[in-house]
Amino acid sequence: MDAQQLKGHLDLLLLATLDTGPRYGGQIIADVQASTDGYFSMREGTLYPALHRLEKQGFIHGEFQTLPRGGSPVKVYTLTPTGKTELTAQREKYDRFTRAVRGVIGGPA
Amino acid sequence: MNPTHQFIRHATRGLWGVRKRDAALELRGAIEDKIYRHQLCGLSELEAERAALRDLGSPHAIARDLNRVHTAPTAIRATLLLGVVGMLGVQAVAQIPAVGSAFRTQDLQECRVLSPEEVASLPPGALARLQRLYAQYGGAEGLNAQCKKGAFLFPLLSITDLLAAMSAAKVPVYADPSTTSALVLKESPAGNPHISYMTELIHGQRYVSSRVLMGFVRSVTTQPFTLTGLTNPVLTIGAARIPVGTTQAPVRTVDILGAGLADARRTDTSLPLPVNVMPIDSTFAFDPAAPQLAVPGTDGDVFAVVQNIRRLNQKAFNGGDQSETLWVRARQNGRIAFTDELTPNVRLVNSQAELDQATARGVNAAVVYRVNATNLQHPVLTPVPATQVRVVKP
Repeated sequence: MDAQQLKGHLDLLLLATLDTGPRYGGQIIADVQASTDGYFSMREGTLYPALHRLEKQGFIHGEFQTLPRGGSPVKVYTLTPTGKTELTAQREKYDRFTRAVRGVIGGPA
Repeated sequence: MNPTHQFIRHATRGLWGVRKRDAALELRGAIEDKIYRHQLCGLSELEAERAALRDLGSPHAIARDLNRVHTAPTAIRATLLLGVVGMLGVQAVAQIPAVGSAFRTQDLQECRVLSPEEVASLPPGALARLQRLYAQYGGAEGLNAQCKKGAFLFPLLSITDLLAAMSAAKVPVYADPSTTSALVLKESPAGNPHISYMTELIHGQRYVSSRVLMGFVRSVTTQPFTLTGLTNPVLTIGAARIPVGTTQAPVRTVDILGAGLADARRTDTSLPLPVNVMPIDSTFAFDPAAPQLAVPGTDGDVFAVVQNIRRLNQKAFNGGDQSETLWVRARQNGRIAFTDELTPNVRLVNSQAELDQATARGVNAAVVYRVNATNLQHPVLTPVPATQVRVVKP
């Protein structure tokens, strides 16, 4: 997967993943990989700054939780109501974009 | 130092305070989680750690990206949060003495506990409000003690200190020494007076309201300047850093910004504020039961709310035409104060135009702006979409 391509859709992917429920970093990476059959493979180095940015924008909220296995706590992120609104907006934007591109390159709608 | 510790240290370089601590804790949790997963796959602890750190990528790249998120685009917040550190660190470097602050002695002497008769004569709403304040401050005496400490007053700044600081900062200020009741500024040593500020005498020294600080600096220099820290900020003009305020009479940055923005709007038409807007200081004893606004961003971010609630209420009460009010507040626990009304039933709108429409229809409304105070010579207010803000119970 081209890093630039991933970068362009990273926010949408993260918000959509958190729309299914609270997740911490490791889970988010695993979920994105699983649901895209490994097409998107992101590194924590990309993930955490993006999560921090989304949290700063108020779209997600992070809280430290200790996992059942113990050890250091992980930061579990939840989509905020503002984040849900943003996700809807980004989904619509993405749909418009893909329809427009499809109109040029052809192929199934 | 083990490899994980070293990795975290590199990856959080450049961050500070709570952010550094939180980022380090989050990375440690992530690394341990990865080590655990790799161990489940059969790797030894050492191999699992190596693999985990390899998975995370370059710690320097993480540090660069985290710094981009947490520092670069939010100069104001970074500078505001630097406050306490700035007071110690910056002051030493700049070697400009602090501008002292104090409260008006008469104001402090006016603090007293209401008599039982006065309390009994209050209408039910006002009585309930007073009781909530008593509860918050530990009774009538507790409230009075806070009042005597100046908690509900805006502080004043020593004029001697302020002029000395400007001089040290190489900002020429032509003050007319002939008047004692006002600080009169001229455009040049022999020029006509062009602005004056009322002064107060405290222990034989002249003081001016701290609320005028932003307007004062804008009137004496065209250089960019900013305020660092939410309480007792550092005023930065060019290379000069001037600490403002004392622990005895703390100066709140949001109140300087509130008064300064209202003042700046008179000449700066790019500010999306009403021409006449009344700033509401953060120092009043507000009703602890008043609702607040949940706003996006992170704590320490500064927001400005323009609302017409007081205008509409007072118009209904006495028929007068009051101005809208301006509440400049720093986000705290995800929220900001925006009213002293208990049940404002307020509509959140997206612009001053929408606020004007609401006012014309007699509808309580508020518009929220994010304040970029990086350069207070040209402050920037960006509307926060109404969908990103909500009214919440305290």
